[in-house]
Amino acid sequence: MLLDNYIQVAWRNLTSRKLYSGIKIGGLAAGLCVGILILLFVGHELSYDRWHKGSDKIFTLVNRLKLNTDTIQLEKFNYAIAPRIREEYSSVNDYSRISNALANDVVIQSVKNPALKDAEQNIMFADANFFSFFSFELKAGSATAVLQQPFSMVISEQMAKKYFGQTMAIGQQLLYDNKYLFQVTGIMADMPSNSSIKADFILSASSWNGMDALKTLVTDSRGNGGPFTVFLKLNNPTDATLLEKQLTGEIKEGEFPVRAILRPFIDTHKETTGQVRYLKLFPLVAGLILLMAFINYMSLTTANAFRRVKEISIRKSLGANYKHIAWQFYVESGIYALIAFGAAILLFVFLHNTLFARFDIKIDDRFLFNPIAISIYLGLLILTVLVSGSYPAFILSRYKPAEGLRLGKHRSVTKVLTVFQFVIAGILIVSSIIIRDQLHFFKHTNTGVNRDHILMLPFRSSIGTNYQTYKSQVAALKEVEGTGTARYPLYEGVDIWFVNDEESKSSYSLSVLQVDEPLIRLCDLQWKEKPIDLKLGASNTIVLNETAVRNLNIDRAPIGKVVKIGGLNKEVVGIVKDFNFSSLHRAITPLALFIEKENSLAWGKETSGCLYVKFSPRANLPGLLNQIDKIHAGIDPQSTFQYQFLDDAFNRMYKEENQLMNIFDGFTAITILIAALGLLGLATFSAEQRTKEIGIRKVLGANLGQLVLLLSKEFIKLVFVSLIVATPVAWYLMKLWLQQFAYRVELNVWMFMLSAALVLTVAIIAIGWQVLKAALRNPVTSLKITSD
Amino acid sequence: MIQLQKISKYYPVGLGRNFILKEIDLTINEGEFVSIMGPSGSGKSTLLHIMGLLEEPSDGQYLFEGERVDRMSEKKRTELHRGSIGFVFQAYHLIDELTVYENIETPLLYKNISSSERKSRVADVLDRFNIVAKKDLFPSQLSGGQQQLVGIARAIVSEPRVILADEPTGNLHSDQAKSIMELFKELNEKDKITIVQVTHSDVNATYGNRIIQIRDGHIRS
Repeated sequence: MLLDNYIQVAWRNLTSRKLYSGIKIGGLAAGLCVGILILLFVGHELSYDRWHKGSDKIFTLVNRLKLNTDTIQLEKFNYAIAPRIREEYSSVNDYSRISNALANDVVIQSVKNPALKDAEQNIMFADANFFSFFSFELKAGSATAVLQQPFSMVISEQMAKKYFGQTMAIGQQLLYDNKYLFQVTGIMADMPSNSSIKADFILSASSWNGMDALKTLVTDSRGNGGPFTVFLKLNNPTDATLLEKQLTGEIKEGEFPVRAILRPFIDTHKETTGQVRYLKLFPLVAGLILLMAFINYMSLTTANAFRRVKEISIRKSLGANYKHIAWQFYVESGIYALIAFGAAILLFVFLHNTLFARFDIKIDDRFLFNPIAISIYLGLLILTVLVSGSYPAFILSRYKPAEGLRLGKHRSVTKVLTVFQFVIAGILIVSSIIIRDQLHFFKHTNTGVNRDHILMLPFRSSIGTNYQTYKSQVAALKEVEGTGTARYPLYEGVDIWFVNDEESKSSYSLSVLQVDEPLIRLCDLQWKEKPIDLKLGASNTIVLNETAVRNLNIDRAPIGKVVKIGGLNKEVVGIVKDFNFSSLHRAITPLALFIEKENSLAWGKETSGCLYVKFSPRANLPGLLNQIDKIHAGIDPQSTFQYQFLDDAFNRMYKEENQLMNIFDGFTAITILIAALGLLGLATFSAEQRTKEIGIRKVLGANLGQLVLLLSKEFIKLVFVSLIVATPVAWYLMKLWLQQFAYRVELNVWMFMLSAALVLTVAIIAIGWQVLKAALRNPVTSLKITSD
Repeated sequence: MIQLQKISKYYPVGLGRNFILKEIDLTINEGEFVSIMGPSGSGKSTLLHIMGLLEEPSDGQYLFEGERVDRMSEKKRTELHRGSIGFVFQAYHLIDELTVYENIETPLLYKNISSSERKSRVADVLDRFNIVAKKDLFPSQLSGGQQQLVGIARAIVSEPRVILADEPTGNLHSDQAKSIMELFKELNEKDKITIVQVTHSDVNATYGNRIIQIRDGHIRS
């Protein structure tokens, strides 16, 4: 068969020129591996929640509140609102509620083996219809029955293994929060990575009537707010717009105008995580990298065309027409593509765990074999064959034996393709450098908070009045230099209060941090107007930051002014200099500090809080943490000991940028690799084609330097052209990217110089070897080679 | 069989034309063995390419068995190419990546001939040229004479009516050349294949039954 003939020729060509074939396949494989990775990621992101049956009919209720300039989104509601909506509107078929109120970090304990306990993160209360409303898979138990009874729970397979090992979990009991016994009525498959609802324990919401702390949440129906996320299943997705209007008319939130929004359930992930911001970029990057890999293949094949011209002429004289030749080169690129694809899959299999971890991506292994993933693989394979085979097939099939191959035109196409590759590489390198610089700036700029050597130790309300004992015992440790207390770990959230301005009849939102006075010293917050000690800690006083003073229009003589905040009159007693209490993405907003007395009983009495510990730079951390853990266990045995470093908490806010940086670094490396491979291939051919010329020049007296210059000049010129094109594009794109940050680095010449130097270095390394090899070759052999 | 009427081939140079062939009239009958001779650059290879449909004339008419080639459909021309014309080149032009067997088989593949028939035809030719033992070797493993033998084997395997040979012995020494020319003579006499060869050598030219001299694009008879 003709096909055999093509395959034979392709295979023998492939194996007889190993370096060249290796470059072609390596480039394609690297590109394909990245392509698979990115497309899988994008496919995974887009598949969120769509796998639920009738997912397009499910909507999440959200209320949007407008407060002058601020918009606040309320996503949690009381117990009563969902049944009422279903009652009143026939377009609503069903509802289901979930809540994680008092369900985070709760201790779950095995009854049989009390030593087996842990503070669990993914606990959720849900309505009885949860498993019939959604399509989560139950491994044991019936969907309609599992959550019917109070104090029943469904646990994930992973948790069943953790708490019950090999023994049957169904029918057994687990102790929740040291108080309540729940019976395991069902086992669910671990929730898929593409689910926006994530839980390991699902507890029946009807249990609340029997739980002291939560009982009131069920009965409380003042306002609309509450602890429940409300999902509505509509008869028809198109009813949503009308229902939104109807609900907007009905729901009120005090005196503020409210707009009800029905957010499609399938958009939950998109709307609630920031990752999607960069998601749009990914297919583009994947496309570019693939394109580069294809270009590599095409330009190498074309550059090699002169070697194949003889074969094509012979074939044409034996009766092949242009279709035969085109078909042959498609078959050939098909073979290369298949091998490259196999290599890419191997690479992916070995690297995907590392890569996912590095990019902070979670994708279930089973997603890798679902129809979406498989169509991605097949699509890529077909695309590779079609695109990478196209150009060689096109130019080689149109070659006329008697006219000779006019490589001139195609050589300039190859040049354009090479420039294109290096433009992309240049842009990516500049972007990488700038993202890196911005991240460095985030982490090292002075935010007005000294984050060094500070531990944050959240405590639960179960510590009660023993908090003071806990604190003083920790403070007494040798390696502890100071302690302070706040309501929350810093950067993990603030309370928002509203200030009513009597004069202008308007209200402002004000962030509030509840702290004690030592914390201000601990974090080195700077006073602008230090209050008199006596007034600190009094319940009717507040401290403002500079921005708040400015925004409240009390710049002149702010001290002593009375601000009506949350309906209470508070006297301004001091002013702190502005400091960044949230991420540097945003400018500093108005802030009030509620300062509690250090020795008061304000902490731990009813609510949770966070102990801040400044430790000595020379402290033995594992030892110190162990000591504190022991103290904590002695004072509050019910809750588990947790800690984080203030510096880590700060850095975590830039997770997204960090991820972006990792991804860009990876892509940049791959892009450079592919571009360098391409250049290496082209240099190899150029050196090969000019062997005779080099031999003659050498005989005529050219020295090594002149020959190297002669051979590399052309490529270096191309790289320079690429840099000239890449620089303004990168400048523009990064300017745009930086604009989203309130605090950002300035674009600088050095960034572009550095990337230009990098690109040039890579190019010189890529071509250097071949150029030197060609230039050093003995002219006697090089002239002999070409004489036959 | 082959009729050329006022065939010209030229390339534009500046405002004028550079003629390779100028108004050539030539008829070659079935069963002839024609030698075309002339100095380098006289246009003899171009003439052979035109006969073999590898190149198109700029002007004039070419009739193959009385039918105008320029009016044939692409399909018909391809058929003609595959079925009726065989080529032998000075530089042998074997495909380096294919074995002797595969090289000989290739034209049959383009003719869509069945696998069993291909096998028997290739085997016949290998046998006839006494190169069975070499069928699995690659061209680079053969001497020049052997390569040309394979080239001829490949030309006749599709049972053409005409063989067009472009200096078939140009790269061979005289002993090898002699046996190749005798092979051509045999093909012409026994198999009744029409042969047109381009040659420099007076000795080779004598194997044919007609010599055509070409100089500066004109035929001098």
